[in-house]
Amino acid sequence: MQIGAERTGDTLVARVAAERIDAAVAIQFKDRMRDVIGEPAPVVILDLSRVGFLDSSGLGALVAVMKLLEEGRRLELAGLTPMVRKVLRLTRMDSVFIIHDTPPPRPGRAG
Amino acid sequence: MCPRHDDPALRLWLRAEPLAVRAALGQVRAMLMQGGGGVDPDIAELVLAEVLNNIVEHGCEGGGRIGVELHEDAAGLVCAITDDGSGFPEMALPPGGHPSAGSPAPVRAPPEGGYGWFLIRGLTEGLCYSRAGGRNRLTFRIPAEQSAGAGGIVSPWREAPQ
Repeated sequence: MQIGAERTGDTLVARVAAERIDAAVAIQFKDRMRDVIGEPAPVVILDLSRVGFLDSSGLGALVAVMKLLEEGRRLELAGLTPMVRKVLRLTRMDSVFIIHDTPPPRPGRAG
Repeated sequence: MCPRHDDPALRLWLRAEPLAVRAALGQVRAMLMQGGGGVDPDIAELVLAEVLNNIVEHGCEGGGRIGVELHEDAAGLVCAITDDGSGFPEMALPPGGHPSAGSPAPVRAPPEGGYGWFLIRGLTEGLCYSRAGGRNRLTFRIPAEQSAGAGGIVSPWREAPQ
């Protein structure tokens, strides 16, 4: 699974380049994110705008990544597709994560 | 007795492995997008993903075969899932409470697992489990017109987080 990452100041943006975070890839996702968050930015924003499907395994992996962060760091979510938003709402995890309505802009993009 | 469902609109056999589950879910979604019924394809794909992945991870760890039979009626998507894996302990389905039920709303450390049966229980009706001839059979309906936030799922917290 490809996850691109870029840091700007205190914020590390991780962009998931996969259409699904499901049982087939949840462990890969968690392992890849473990590497990504090795960059010690206080705020990690996970851009999920490419992800159209999340199941309970994927949700568990999101929680696991949140728990991997040391005290004083936090995981935030951005760019949720309607399906992912439903899963978070149904499981009440939308009250656990800070959720941004729009994905963070890519650096260097005009406008 | 669990009800029998004849004449399925979609019948699939798949190997009990994650990528085969993915492929099957793609076929289910295609059927629902064509059918134009009242079932939310996102919800149907989620419920079936939870049921099938549970079989892969807990019923058929050493491999096995899963059968999926679906048809839509006015009330929703009627599903019958069979597999040749091990049965549920004491023939009872997991209770499916929210993993954090009974706790104050956790901010920092919610559980990583246990959401699968919570979703299945909350998003289906008429869940019925039986075992005969070495095969498990799970039947249920995913109701039409059910959207996230409605349906049978209620807040797991003692006090609703607002």
